[in-house]
Amino acid sequence: MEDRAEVVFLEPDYDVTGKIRALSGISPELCYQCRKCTSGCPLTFAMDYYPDQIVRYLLLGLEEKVLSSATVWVCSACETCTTRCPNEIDIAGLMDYLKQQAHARGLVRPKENLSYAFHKAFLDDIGRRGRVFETGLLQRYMLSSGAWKAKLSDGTLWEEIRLGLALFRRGRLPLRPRGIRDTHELRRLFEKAPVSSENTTQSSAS
Amino acid sequence: MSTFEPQIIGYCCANCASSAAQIAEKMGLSLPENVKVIQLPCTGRLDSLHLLKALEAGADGVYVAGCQPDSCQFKHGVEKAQKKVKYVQTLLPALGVEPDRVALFHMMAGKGQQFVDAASAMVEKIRALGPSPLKD
Amino acid sequence: MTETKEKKNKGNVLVVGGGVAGLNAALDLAAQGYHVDLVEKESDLGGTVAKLHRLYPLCSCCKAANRATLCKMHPNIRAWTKSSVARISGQAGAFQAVIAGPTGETPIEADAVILAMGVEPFNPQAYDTYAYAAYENVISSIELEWLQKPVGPFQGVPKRPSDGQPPKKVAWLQCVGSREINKCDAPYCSSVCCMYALKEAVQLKDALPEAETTIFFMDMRTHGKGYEKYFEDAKQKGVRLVRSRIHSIEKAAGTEDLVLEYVDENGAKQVETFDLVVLSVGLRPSAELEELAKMLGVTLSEDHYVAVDNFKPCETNVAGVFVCGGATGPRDVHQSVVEAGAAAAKAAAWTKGVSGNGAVAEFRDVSGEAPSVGVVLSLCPSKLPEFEALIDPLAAFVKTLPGVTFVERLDLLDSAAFGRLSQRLQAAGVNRLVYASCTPLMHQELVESAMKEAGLNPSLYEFVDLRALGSTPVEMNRLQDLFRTAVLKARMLEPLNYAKVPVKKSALVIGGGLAGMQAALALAEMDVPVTLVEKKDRLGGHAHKVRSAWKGESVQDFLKSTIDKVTQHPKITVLTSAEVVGARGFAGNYISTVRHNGQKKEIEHGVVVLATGAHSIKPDEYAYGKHPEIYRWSDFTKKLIDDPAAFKSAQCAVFIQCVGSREPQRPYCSRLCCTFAVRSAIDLKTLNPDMDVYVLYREVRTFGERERIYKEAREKGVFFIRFDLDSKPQVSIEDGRLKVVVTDPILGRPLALSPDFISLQTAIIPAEAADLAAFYKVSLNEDGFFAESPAKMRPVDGETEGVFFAGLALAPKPVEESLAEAWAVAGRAMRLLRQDVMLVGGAVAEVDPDKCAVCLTCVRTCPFHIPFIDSPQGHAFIDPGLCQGCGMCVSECPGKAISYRRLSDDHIAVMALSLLGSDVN
Repeated sequence: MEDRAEVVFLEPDYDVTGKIRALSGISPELCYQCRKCTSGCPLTFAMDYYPDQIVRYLLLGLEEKVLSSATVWVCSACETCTTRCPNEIDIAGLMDYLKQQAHARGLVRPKENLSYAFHKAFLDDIGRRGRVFETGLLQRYMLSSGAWKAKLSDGTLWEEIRLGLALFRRGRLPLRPRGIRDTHELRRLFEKAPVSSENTTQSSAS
Repeated sequence: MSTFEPQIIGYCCANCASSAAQIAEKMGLSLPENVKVIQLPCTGRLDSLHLLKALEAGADGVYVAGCQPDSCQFKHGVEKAQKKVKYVQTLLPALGVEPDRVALFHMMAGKGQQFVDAASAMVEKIRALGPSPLKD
Repeated sequence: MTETKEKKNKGNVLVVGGGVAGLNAALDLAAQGYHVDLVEKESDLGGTVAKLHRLYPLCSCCKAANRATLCKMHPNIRAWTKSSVARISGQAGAFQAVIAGPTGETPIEADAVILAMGVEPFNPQAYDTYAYAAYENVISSIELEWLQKPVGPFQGVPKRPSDGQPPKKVAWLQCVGSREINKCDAPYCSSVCCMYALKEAVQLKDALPEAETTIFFMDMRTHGKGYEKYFEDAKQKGVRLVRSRIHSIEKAAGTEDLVLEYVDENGAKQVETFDLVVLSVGLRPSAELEELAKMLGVTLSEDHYVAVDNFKPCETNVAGVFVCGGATGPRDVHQSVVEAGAAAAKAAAWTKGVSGNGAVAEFRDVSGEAPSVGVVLSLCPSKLPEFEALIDPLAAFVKTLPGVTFVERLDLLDSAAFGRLSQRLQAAGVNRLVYASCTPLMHQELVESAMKEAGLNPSLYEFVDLRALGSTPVEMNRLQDLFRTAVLKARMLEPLNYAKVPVKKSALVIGGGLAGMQAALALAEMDVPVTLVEKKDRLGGHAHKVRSAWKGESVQDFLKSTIDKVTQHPKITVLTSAEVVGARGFAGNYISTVRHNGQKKEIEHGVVVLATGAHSIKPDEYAYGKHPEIYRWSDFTKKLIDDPAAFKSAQCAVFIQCVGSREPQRPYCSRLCCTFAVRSAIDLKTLNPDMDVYVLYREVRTFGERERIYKEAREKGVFFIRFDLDSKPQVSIEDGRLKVVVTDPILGRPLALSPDFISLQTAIIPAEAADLAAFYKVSLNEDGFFAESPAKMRPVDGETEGVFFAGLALAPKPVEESLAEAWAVAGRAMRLLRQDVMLVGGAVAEVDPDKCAVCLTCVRTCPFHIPFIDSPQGHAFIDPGLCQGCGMCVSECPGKAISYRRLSDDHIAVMALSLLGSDVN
């Protein structure tokens, strides 16, 4: 975290909230700082910025700051915030949108962000075949994030392997991937432009 | 030896004390029978004379029920009454009378229970003190 | 039904709703000579206020209950309880309604209708995460009020629902059902919850001094008169405030205690356990409003309250149908009572009838007669039958007392009872009355009118208070003592002097701003000639610097048309560049000296309206005066009025709130600045969407339906930054450019803004009014605003009869509220002005000139500054027209030169003797 006493010369970009509204249908500008979202969020302990701070930064248009935060990836989309926001701001949805933007702008790297690494591995799998190939997923996640190194050094890698073998014995880890039939439809889904006017979180992960 | 039932005069104001009486009435409460009320427009009307005259007339105890100091409709009536009560309390020992025989209670307009409790407390206190020494 | 009876009344008005607004409207109308049908759906009058505990500042228990009693007893008011308006049709001047009640349906006619249907509390079950229905110790604020009432289940000491123990740690959750579009459809603020939560917390600590109280809130909205001070006092008393809203309530495992999790103002997550949680529920319109509005064709607002034009407060879109109180929108008791007065006045102005109370009957000269006492007992229906059983033997005893001519019962349920009393008095030829009842003071007015009608001096009666007495046979002794004493006292009474003073049916309005002008117009509409005195050389006052009302309506247009109406009205005489330099007299009879064009002239009038207004201060902070683009908001507005495109090219605007308000030296809120800033911000954004607009605030007080524009402002991209008293924004000027640095509390870091202009929302301070207050024997509060009557529920009356206040002179307020007060003033003034003759004197203090030592004690004692030393006479003089009969000077006078013949020292001595059982004769 940077020096909090450093004075920020605001160059707010109010177009940011407009863009967010257009792309996701969510209106963060309605926030009146009641703090219910942060109060209720069960994962604040792992975040660098609280959900209400994320919204606040977005109001100021400081998108870059937000997109490179850990918060966006820690969010588990449990929607505790969304169900309680008095102004009906879909904060969880906002986090989703921010995840997408971070990915789209190449602002995250799997090696720096375990959460992102997993998201990416998962979605890449789906994007390719329409179904997750658990074995490949784990492998890809471990390798792309470099998590295997950490696990090797603290000894937990062996436990993971033991777990993998146990799963394999129960037929939970297929050796070969299986996909869906109409992958071209899938590709279309992934390339389709995001819906603008509805308050949904469906959007492309291009 | 018969138990002593004190005779008490209560000077009550027409505002908060009266409103408290209203609430007491609504709650179905009643003043102890030994207490008889004389209503004043405001406890500010109270003169030391009235307290003394009541004792002279045979009251075993006299109390004043007025507003809270910040709610008096006539602003400082109850403060003036307090002064009179204190003054009489300093005179009474010279007459051989216990100063506790006069007292002032501040009422809250909505507290009916308090209106009755003040009277009961006075009755208890006077009962313990016994009949007024002014009575033959 | 009314054809056989001669139309004694000016007209008939239907008031729907018997809550605090309805009661006051009914009483005001009845006092102006109208007949009122008051319809209430519940089994008793009083509405929501009757269920609440110790409101601030208008405590309800006594005053609302008294009004309910008076409405039931008043000969001009017909109260229908457990009833509703089943059907209504017709138009102004000729409404036909059907009232459906326990006895069936009754058709009535009305010239006008007042909707006073009030509010209902929001049911918090919609907030599933607050588990209101599931957890026992989660209660609503309304439920807590009942627990706190001395007449409630626990005699005022609340207990936890789960185990009956007194709570030790209580939390209040604000904005439940308000400012919310997620769990409910109520984007407006309910206006009262912040204040009532504070009051509940303070009262709880009163009852349970060990209890810890915490309020979880977002903005603390204490914008009424005296409310901010109450807020500060509450904090001093230990009420804890946490600016963080609670998302859910959990139960602590294995108990009925409640766990709240929140992020505190330092950004740390906290978990706390409470044993009682109170949900501060918002307000909703009455369920019956929608249907009745449809029947009448009355338009409702987006929030389902009655839609009202800000410049025509208390009027609906249907002629002859008025509205007041909660039916107009969420508001507090103070405002509801003001509106009740305004609605009553408007209804009266609409249905003008025959005025005047005619001549007052001559009082029979009883001085030569031996005292002959009539004794009347009126028991309220709630007295127990055991008590009833004591009455006959008591009556028999009373009849044997010396001087008693008759002993009778009066049935309080009979509305013609008091009329019959008057006939009985006349027929029996008695010259004294002893009146025994349970609510003596409430009946005072009625008893006195009955006596006047019978030709008796209305001071010749004594009350017996039947309240708080037992019902057993033992009680008989005390009852006998009480009645014997009352009869004795009645015999000792001498008829007091009443001067019959003709009432001057005219008004003097001091202050030509919107409040003063509206009051003048309202009175003129009721055929009262008005003299309007304005210090400056033009009418309009502060309104010249007000651009729009909160919905954006142009105040300037309204101001111009009002000035035109006033200057052209045949009944209003306008004196500009004029000042009142002296006054004497009392209600109904004033003579004021006005200096106009260098000359002094005397004006006679019956009432005076003080509407001297206020202005915004020039601050000594935020670099005011050091840069041309740092404005006081009144100047900022003036610029915008003169040139609507004045700030169009600005890139960045900053509004700084609470400049000089809510500070230790000025501990009140100026009420309208938040709304002003938000409104201006929206208008600036509309003018130039690219302008960055910031509002730096301490609390956002866009109360009531104004919350909607706060939302609109956020939608338009206005940025709101909160600051505290100890973290005020820093304004500096660098190379001629403005710079503002403020710490954002959410981000925890300072932000620097570069505005092109700054508008400082400075405090509103009242115009200098000490002289006027002295002339008319009223007072100013510690902030310099006029102090309304301590009698409570008289928001526009002065402590002296005949003096009224309206507008900013009373407290800061927006235009629509000043207009409502102006109308309320007109209505209240009419109670006095409709009389042709006033009885002046009676139960007043009288100075014996021979005994007066001119010690000035009485002058110093009187809370209303009434006695003065009449130099030619050389003694103190107490004006019988002004004396309020409290008796303080009587007891303070060291020389016993002042007597109070209504209750003299001799009376008291005799009463004391008699009460203690002695046979006095």
